[in-house]
Amino acid sequence: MNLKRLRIVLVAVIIVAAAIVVTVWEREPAEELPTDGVVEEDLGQGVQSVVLAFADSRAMSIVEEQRDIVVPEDRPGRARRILEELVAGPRHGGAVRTLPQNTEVHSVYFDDSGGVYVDFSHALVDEHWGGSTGELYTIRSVVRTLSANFQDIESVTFLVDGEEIETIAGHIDASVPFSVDQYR
Amino acid sequence: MKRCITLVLALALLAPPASAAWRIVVEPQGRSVPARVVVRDGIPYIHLADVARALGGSRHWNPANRKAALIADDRRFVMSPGNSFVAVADRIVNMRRPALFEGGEFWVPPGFLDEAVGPALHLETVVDLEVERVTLRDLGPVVGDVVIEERSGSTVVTIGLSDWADIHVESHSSGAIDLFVQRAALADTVELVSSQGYVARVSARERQGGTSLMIETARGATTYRVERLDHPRRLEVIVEARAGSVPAPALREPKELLARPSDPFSTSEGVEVVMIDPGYGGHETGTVGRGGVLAKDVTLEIAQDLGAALQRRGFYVFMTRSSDSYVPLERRCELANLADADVFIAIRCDAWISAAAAGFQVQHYEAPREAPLPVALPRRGGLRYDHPSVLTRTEEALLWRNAQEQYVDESRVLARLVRGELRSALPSADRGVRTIAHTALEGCGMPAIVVSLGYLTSGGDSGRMQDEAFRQDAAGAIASALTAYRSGWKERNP
Repeated sequence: MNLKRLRIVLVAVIIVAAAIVVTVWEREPAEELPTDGVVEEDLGQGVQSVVLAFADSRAMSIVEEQRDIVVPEDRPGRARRILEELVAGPRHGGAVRTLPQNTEVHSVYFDDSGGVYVDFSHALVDEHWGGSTGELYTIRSVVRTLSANFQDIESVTFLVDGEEIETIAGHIDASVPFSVDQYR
Repeated sequence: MKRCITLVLALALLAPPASAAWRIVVEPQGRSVPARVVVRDGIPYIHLADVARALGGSRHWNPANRKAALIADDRRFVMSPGNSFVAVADRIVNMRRPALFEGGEFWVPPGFLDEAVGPALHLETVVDLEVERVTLRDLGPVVGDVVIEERSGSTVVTIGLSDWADIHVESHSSGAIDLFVQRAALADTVELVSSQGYVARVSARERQGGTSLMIETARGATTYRVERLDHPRRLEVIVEARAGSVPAPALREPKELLARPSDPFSTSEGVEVVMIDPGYGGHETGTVGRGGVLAKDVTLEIAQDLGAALQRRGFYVFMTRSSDSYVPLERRCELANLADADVFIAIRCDAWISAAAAGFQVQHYEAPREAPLPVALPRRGGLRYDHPSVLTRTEEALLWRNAQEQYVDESRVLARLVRGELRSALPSADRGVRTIAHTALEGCGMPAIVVSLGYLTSGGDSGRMQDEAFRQDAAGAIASALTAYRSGWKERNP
């Protein structure tokens, strides 16, 4: 009788232990996406020459500008820093900004198949000046800037506050990724 | 007379006879699956769930964007009501008739089996129409013809009714009058787009429990009343202005417009029908230009001038909006498809951060280049009929995009003609023909272009676009280009 009770207790202990192991196993965190909270000194930041793509004042073509800036070493951090520089606007005459001045770049993600996701703040949409040309050059300048500084990317998806968007200013479907081949 | 025959046919076929037994036969096994069918205009539409059962798959409906999908093994079919195109993996198939969404259910035309699924399935019936004669009384009231006419300072919308019905009338702050005819069916399911006097547009839709007629009033209209009349039985909605108001100008002959064949799949010979799409509208103002001028007002004025110019050259003209009302972008393409338009012309204003950008430009569609669709839909837990996330956004977009892809060559021809005429007629800078993945074009099943006459952010362009003479010149140039396109189309399609 005692032996039977012992067996039951043993089986129960094994089941509980197994459940704990499975739970812990499942809770093991997945690989985390890079966050913005990384201390820059740890990344071994350095000065790098980057290419920024603005537009000419008549909205006829892209105007590239080379600029030396301090960037983090990790790709998402570097991409974010470069896009912040793009938001800051051109330094030379003849070129104009392509993103609203108050746009913030929350974060940038790279996937394994050449896709880049850029998460902007709502100012991108709220403060955009509109027009299909205006919208087109906003997309082109971001795609061209990223592809000029990261050779292996194939598409760029725009997000606003972490969400997919239908459009930036009502003309171009922004719910699908913008291909680098098409918008560079 | 033709309309009367259509009406009688529709009456006879609105309800499937009780004994009608439809089934889908699955080849090569020869087994059959019972199918629920509704007959519209003599065409049996099959319940999507029954097709799914025959294929051993499942069907899904996203009420948020009104897209339906059938998923069987590794095959996926994506479609939307009122649209005859089905996205099948990475290609597009024309069912020849639009899918229906009625009574909370999704119905596909026989073309879905023939064109999209292939020879594995076909529809069979043993119905005897001779025995099952349907009478008017069984059907309840039917909403027939809708006619708009001017009558001593008022605009009268006459709605034919086969029998009296309870009516609920509601007016919206936007100036629209919503007239709901309870228990009534709609003899003619096409949306009527028109403009006459104080009425900007009348649309009719069957809904659960009856038929809804939406009468959108034009600028200047201030009052309305509804009257019931007999011999023939009809409702009259009389829209008018109080004393002192200026009547809105009549843009076109309504009888001609309404006499157009209502079947969007009738084969049109040549280029006859033009859908003009004035950009923005309602709360969507578009760019606010110099001096506070709004893109939505400028585009509407240009569109109205263009409409008049095209009518003078013998085109039938429809507009996606003829007043300051909001029309969603996808709806604009849908209206063009429903009206069986031969050409779609979107009128827009451009904008730029610097006042240096100026000039007109014509755009046609270029499909986004992107990665192919995933082989299988992500299988999330709890997939069900109304699950909103069954379809990827890419798949949802596919239907619309592919509709215009087939017409890109013709759209390019049209764009070049319009650009050439504008270059001769206007003093503005010529920015040429550009391609763009424009949302206003992607769902159009006909040649389609966007014409921007200038930048509202440029002082010169903004002033010109508000100048009547400039707009008339531009309208005349676009109309000339369309006349040339009409002649060229006949040569290309002898």
